[in-house]
Amino acid sequence: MALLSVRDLTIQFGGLRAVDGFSVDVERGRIHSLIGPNGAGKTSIINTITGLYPAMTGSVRLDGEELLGRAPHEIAGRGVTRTFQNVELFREMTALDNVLVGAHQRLRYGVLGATVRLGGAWAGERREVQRAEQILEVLGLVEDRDRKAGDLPFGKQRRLELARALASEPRLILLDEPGAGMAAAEVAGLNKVLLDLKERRGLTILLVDHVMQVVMNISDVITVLHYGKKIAEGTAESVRTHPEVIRAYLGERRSRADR
Amino acid sequence: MGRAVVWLLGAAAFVVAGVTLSDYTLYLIDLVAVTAIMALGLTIVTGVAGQVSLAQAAFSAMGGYGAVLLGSGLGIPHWLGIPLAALGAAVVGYLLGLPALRLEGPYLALVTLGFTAIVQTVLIHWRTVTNGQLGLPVPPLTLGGRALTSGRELFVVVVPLAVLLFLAARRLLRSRVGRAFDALRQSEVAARVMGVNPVHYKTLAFALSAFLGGLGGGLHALLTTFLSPDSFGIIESIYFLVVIVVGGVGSVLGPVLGSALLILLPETLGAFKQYQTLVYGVLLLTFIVFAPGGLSGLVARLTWRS
Repeated sequence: MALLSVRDLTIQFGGLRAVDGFSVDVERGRIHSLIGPNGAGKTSIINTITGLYPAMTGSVRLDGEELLGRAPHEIAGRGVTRTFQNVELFREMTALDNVLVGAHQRLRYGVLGATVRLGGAWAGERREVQRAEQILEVLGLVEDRDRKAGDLPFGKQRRLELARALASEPRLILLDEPGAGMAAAEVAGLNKVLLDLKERRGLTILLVDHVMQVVMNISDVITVLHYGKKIAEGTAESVRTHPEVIRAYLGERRSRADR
Repeated sequence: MGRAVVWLLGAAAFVVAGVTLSDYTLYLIDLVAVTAIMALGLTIVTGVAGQVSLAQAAFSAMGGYGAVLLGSGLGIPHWLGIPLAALGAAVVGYLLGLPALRLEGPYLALVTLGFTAIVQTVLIHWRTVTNGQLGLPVPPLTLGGRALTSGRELFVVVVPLAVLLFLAARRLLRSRVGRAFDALRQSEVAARVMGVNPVHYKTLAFALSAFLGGLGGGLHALLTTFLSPDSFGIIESIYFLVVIVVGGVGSVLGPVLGSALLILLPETLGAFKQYQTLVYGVLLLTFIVFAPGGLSGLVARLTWRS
């Protein structure tokens, strides 16, 4: 069974149907990419999976369990996490604290545990600080541990967002245009990190982008979305040569993308 | 080692101050400590969790009136009555936090402002219980059969309690709970997606602010020895906002520095005391425009440089 199974998902804002009867299966341990021109409905799908937008019809199941209708923090508790297209960091917090918020649900103590520090409350906190430091190290942010997130350069902010998402030890991570606004070398570095996460940790990744070149090299499966509908799905090669994709998507973009 | 030295120095300063300073000076220090406790509640809910609250005067009224009424009605002594009244305020604060889930910014501020107005109206008109505009005398705190009335006697109780509360607050804000408050203020969407339950943490922030408002209010009543509805209005709620802005929004040290400035400054103003409100207004604007980090921000900048 697929880890994430989306069926007949329809998302509507007023009279605008952003996503129309969309279905997809994301298999465990894969990097699955969702591509399509701007306005194709990619971000709406991610927002609905993470509980931020309501769906009109359809179902979103994680390991067989329905996610639609649940609050974002409950969905996070089931092992789904994400990054944002426009970077949503806690800008006034340090890099370390950002990552620790990602570990929020791995800790259980409350007000008494925090103030009186009886029992295991603080042992858990120390353990999570160590884990957070390891994650910062993996993403090359260890020397930025105590810097405010808002003061970091943009490429590092993107990596910090990924670090924060990883801190929850997710089963599924949704990345919304992780390469947007980054230099080519930085994108290559990011792709290496993503492949590494897949191979070493067995992480399942659903990646959204509008530039096909970004996802070609690292995706196991690519789904192409156009005006809220799925028009093609398969390996990079099969999608690239799919006539409808060329017509709807590459046809108008290839000249610009290859320039 | 370093920490033990700080504790010893603090304890020594406490003893020396308690023995050498005049009773009036100690009374002023008590006032600063108690005001800081109430303002600390506002720092948590507004400064850190980002939920604008103008209800702090109402919670402080609940602490003061609650403790006095628990004493006169049920014979509960203040040492128990004040924490009980504070817990009662916390329950009300939790309930007041519920609209915070739907409202933001100015709308939430208006709801909490309305709440303060309602509480004050009840204090004025529920004469059989609150004695209305005539007010209520506050019996002294008695510990071990001894009534504590002077600034010096209350100093021994109030200041250590304030220190403990501030240390607890510092721990809280550096924990999972404080990070959740902070995260909700800075990006609610990201906080929710990272697993922070907004319902739980917003109502918790309101409950904590109400608890500290109630506790400080109960202690404040011991210092003023008299309760009148006039001291718990909208202006007083705004006063707490001025305290945390002047002290530094979101900083644990902010309420202490802000309270110290706003309580000690009028003492040095002398003849200008009648313009107190004007001075507060000017202070508020000056800090917002020129030093948005407040006094604690200035202190941090100075220590940074050296």
